[in-house]
This record gives sequence, C-alpha cells and structure tokens, in this order.
Amino acid sequence: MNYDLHIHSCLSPCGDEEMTPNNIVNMAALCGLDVIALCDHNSCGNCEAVLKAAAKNCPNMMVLPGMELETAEEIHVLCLFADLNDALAFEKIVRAARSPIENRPDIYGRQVLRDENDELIGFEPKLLVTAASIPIDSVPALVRKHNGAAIPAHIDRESNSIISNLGFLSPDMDFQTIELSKKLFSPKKAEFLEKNRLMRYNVLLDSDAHYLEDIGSANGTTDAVFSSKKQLIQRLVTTGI
Amino acid sequence: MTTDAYAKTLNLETVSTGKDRAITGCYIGDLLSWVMGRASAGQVWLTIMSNVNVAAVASMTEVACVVLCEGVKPDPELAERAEKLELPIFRTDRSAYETAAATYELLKE
Repeated sequence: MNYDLHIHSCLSPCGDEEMTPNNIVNMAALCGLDVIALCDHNSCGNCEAVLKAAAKNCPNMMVLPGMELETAEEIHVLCLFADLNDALAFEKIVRAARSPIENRPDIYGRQVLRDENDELIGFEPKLLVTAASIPIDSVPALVRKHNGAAIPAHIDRESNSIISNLGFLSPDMDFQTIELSKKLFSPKKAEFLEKNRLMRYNVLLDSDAHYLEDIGSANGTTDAVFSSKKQLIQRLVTTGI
Repeated sequence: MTTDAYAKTLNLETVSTGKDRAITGCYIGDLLSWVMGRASAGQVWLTIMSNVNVAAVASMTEVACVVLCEGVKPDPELAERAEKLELPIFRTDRSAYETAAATYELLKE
C-alpha cells in the first residue's frame, strides 16, 4: 500500500489555496496512493469535506481524518483517527486549548474552510499555526482515548520537532510510531535513527504536503494491507505499518 | 535610539536590512507562541530561534528588530523573508544575557 499520512489543506494558513478537498483526493488518487490522512494545523475543520469528496471521487482510497497538533512546547504531532466523530471530539479539546490570537491573513495566509464540493464555507478566524496549551506528555493518552494514533511529526526537522524542541524522544512517552520528513534522504535515515536512539520506533515517511505537487512525494509504502481504518490505527499504535 | 544606531553601537552583524525603526524596549524569548502574545511594538527581540517563522512573529508583534544571540546562524529562508518584509535582523556571538544588559544600558540613556 502506498500512503501519505501528512497532507495539509487550504485550512492551514501555510497550505496552498489549491489544496481543496477535491483537488487533494484526486491528486492522491492520481499518485496511486491507497491511504491518506488530512492533517491541518490544530484543526479538523476540512476533514469531513475531504472524507466526502473521497467517497464520491475515489471510494477505494482510505482517508483518515487527522490533525497536526502543535503542543505547548511547539512540537508537531500527527493525530490520526479512523472515525470522524473521534477526530471531532478530539478537536473540541484542542479548540479549547488553542491560542486566542487572531489570524493575520496578510502575514500567515488565509485559513479556508470548504465543503465536499469545494464551495467556500468560511474562514477560521483564530491563528492555527501556534501552540495549543496541551503538553506533549499528555498527547499519546489523549489521542488514544479518542481511538487515535499520535505520531511525532517530521522528527528530523530543526524546528517544531520533538528532537529539536526537547532534545530527545523520551522512551517514557508512549509513542510507537514516528514520522521522518522527506528531506532526510535514505542513506542518512539509519544514521539519524541510530544517533537519536530511535531504532525501536516504527517509521512513517510522509510528504507534509502544502502544495498539490507535494502529495505522495515522500513515496511512503508498506507491504501491509489494511482491511479497515481501525486496523491501520491499531497498527500505528502497536507494531507499525 | 533607532535600530541602525543600536546595531552599530553594539557591533551587531546584519542579517537583513530593513527600515530604520525607533526602539522602545527589549523582549527575550524563544518559544514563538509565547513571544507572539507578549512582545510589544518597538521592542528589540532577543532570541536563539532562527526559523523562518521568526519573521512572521516579528511582523505580527511589530517589534523594532530581531537579534539572534549566542552565535546562532539564521536559516537562509528567514533572511530572505525578513528582507521582503523590510524587517531588520541582526546577529551576535554574545549571549542573550550580555546583549540584554548592553541594551538596557543603551536604552537607559
């Protein structure tokens, strides 16, 4: 199965406005992806639209509702769910913990909400690319409580990663899977994982796509076949995919 | 005191040139979400954060300039973005503490 579990939509201020629900799922299908996840910053606002657009255009593709949470320590964590209602219940908690700072579209870009036909619903007024007051230690349990999988994002990046912000990934934190950015080229992967004592984790390779042409660009692939989203989430929090 | 004179007096290295702005105070912080809600217009912002998002936070808070301390080198993207936004960014090998102390002395006058 080919996967890309870290894709932004036009709701992320840094996401290109061409990243509409239909464009995302159609591009993912064109790239031959079998499973994708929508992970906007601190919001699941476009998840329903993307799920519906996928059901309409490419019913065989598996789409996980998700979020790229920014913790109190400014660490980015992918939070993936099998069920939209679980994602939305989780989002409610994040919403309450989000910063009250208003978005400045002139600086950050617009935060666009669209429906499954790509029609404009509105704009998220609060800035999504900033920390929510949720500490990293509490994230694995909180996401699990909502039947989801928490995955430290782009762990090799120099900003907003658990390694850059906390120095190392504590084995006391209940993460089983981590994500590497596509910037880390294959020969350096093993070296990086060894140096940071991350050999025991399952590793995902995602694009962190903010533009249509980035979708699928990390070439994430697995021999495993999943019959359901639930099974996929289960694997992400245990043995990996 | 303005940013140009400030940089010259403290012998700061220029990362990006911007409009010469008046300095009213100083703020120190590295966690961008924290700085975003607390730095004020006209302040010198001392930080070790060199990510491109520094430019966005500096614009938003309208700080007078940014000083990258402790020998931190800016991400090329940050220098580029700051140039576009006409935001002055400087750098120094001195610590945030030393830079803040020197800034305090200058602003006291």
